[in-house]
Formats: sequence, C-alpha cells, structure tokens
Amino acid sequence: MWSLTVAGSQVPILGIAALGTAVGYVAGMFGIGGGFLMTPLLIVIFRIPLPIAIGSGLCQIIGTSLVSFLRHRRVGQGEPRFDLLMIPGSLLGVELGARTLAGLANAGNLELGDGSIPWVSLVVETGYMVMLLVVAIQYWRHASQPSDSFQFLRSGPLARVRFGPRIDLPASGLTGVSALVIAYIGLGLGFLSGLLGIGGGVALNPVLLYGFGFPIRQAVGTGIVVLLATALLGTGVHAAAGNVHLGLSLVLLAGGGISAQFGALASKRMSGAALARVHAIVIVAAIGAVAWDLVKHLV
Amino acid sequence: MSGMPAWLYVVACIVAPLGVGFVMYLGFGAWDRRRRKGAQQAGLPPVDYSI
Repeated sequence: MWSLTVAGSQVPILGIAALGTAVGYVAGMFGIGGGFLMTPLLIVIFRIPLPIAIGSGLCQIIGTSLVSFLRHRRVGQGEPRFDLLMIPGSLLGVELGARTLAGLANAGNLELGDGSIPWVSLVVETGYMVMLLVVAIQYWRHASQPSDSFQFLRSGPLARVRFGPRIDLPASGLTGVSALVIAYIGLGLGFLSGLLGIGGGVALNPVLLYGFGFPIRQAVGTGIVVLLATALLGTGVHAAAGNVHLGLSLVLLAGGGISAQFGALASKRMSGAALARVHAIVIVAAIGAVAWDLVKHLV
Repeated sequence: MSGMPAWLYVVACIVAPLGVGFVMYLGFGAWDRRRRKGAQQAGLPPVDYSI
C-alpha cells in the first residue's frame, strides 16, 4: 500500500487522492478553492497535525488558484480595482494569521474535566465553525428568496458605507464604494488564510454577493489574484516554519484539480438557488466534522 | 523535511504547485477545446439562408 509519512504517521496516498478528488468536485461546483473543507477533513479523517494540514492545504491552493486565475483572466471576469485594494491588507493578514497560529501551537492544552484540548485546536476549529455557520446561513437565507432577488441583488449594505476615500467599481456597476472597507476585508481574508489554511473564497463570495451586491459572474472572478497572492505568501511562511508537506499537497492538488473541472460542468445544470442550498448543506456537514473532532478531544 | 536546505524546500513548496497548476491549465484548456469542437460537430449544421 503506497503511503506518505506525515509527522511520523503513515497516511495512505490513495485515501489522500480520494479526499482531494471529492473536495475538488465540490469546490469546482461552487467556484471556490475548497480549503474550508480540505483542511478540517485532513485533520478529522487522517489525523494530520493541525499546523501541517493548514500549511499543506495552502500549498495545494497555489495550484488550484493559478488555474482559476488564468481561466478567469482569459474570459475577463472579476473586478481588478477590488483585487488591488485587497492585496496589501491580505498579505499583512496572512503574516498575522500565521503568527497567531504559531502562538496558539505553543500555548499548551486547556484542561476540561477528564479531558484536555490543545488551545490551537479549540481556537482554530471554533473559528472554522463560526465562520462556516455564518456563511451557510447567508447562502440558505438568500436561496430562499425569489430568484429575481438572488440573481440581481444590487448595492448591498457594504457598498453603501460612506467611510474614507471612495472608488467606483465599473465592472460590477457599483459607485462610491469605500476603499477602506475593501482594504479591511483584504486584511480579514488574509488573517483567515494564515490562521485556518483556507484560500478564503468561501468567506469572500457571500461578502461580494450579499454584502456588496456584485453580479454573480463578477463575484466569482474577483479575489482570485488575492487568493493566489495569499496562498503564495502563506505557503512561504508556513514552509519556513516546517508546516508544509509537499508530497501531501501535490497528491491533493492532482486529485482535486481534475475533479474540479467535472464539478464546474455539473453546476451548469443547477439553478442558482439550488446551488446555494447545496452549498449551505455541504458547509453544515463540514461544521459537523469539525465539531466531532472537538468533542473527541473531550471524551 | 527531505534533506534539502530549508530555503530550497520553501522555494520547492511554491514552485512545484505553480508548475502543476500551469500544466493543468494547459491540459484542461486543450480538453475543453476538444469538448467544444466535438459538441459543435455533433450538432445540427448551421442553417443556410442563401438561395
């Protein structure tokens, strides 16, 4: 049986490839990187140490986000001004997130009754669950609205914030959007990448769709440059700290990259509302997996 | 990690997924072109409006 040695444990290559394939299919279906599923499932199914799951997850996102970036650049989707404003904050956020993770990893355990739980697992996994729950509620709420409002939401609450310098976003048809709000979103997204090992598409897409009111095509194409930049920096930072297992990342990338294409084709046969509902269900399943891992520490 | 210097490992962790991603992009591009061409050929011929 082919296997990889990850932090002293044997991990089956076929199992990792199967996980990459399954997550890649789901990610392709929803037009996201899939890091929000990949990292917790590596921890829950294969018992891979959290920092290595995070670092290796970010490393494979480099490959998937490069493919997305090149494809979207060819068809001209996305809002380049939004990307440019997010990049500085997101790079700073990655560094902050990675340092926070390193601090948590050295913080020891929290003793609770008979069991104990590492602080890093408690904070990171709780962070995952809260973020995913908010995203799932957003998708479910908007999937329940009439199809017209789902497809043509305009000028969401974040686009109406009048704070600091403002810019127009011509590709999305929005005017007078606060540049500071966009920069802080970049910072938050970078922090999530560095801390949780996710690309951030799962958090950014609802912010663009429901927070700003981006048309869905522009929302899907926006943020990929930032995703690529944060994945590159995050991988560098985590690799320097010894948190990246290159073999693991490449096996995940090989499986996920191919199946994502089939997921993208499958999504074309579904309505926007149905897609949003399925997305919410998948996210809730991911929350369940993370919650199970937390509970196992305590029993 | 694998006996190589730490800086080289960091570079490898960045360059290797970039390379795999680029190869995938080229491969999927070629596959997509073939798929579209096949669908076009399987479809009905365009209507000829000339008399």
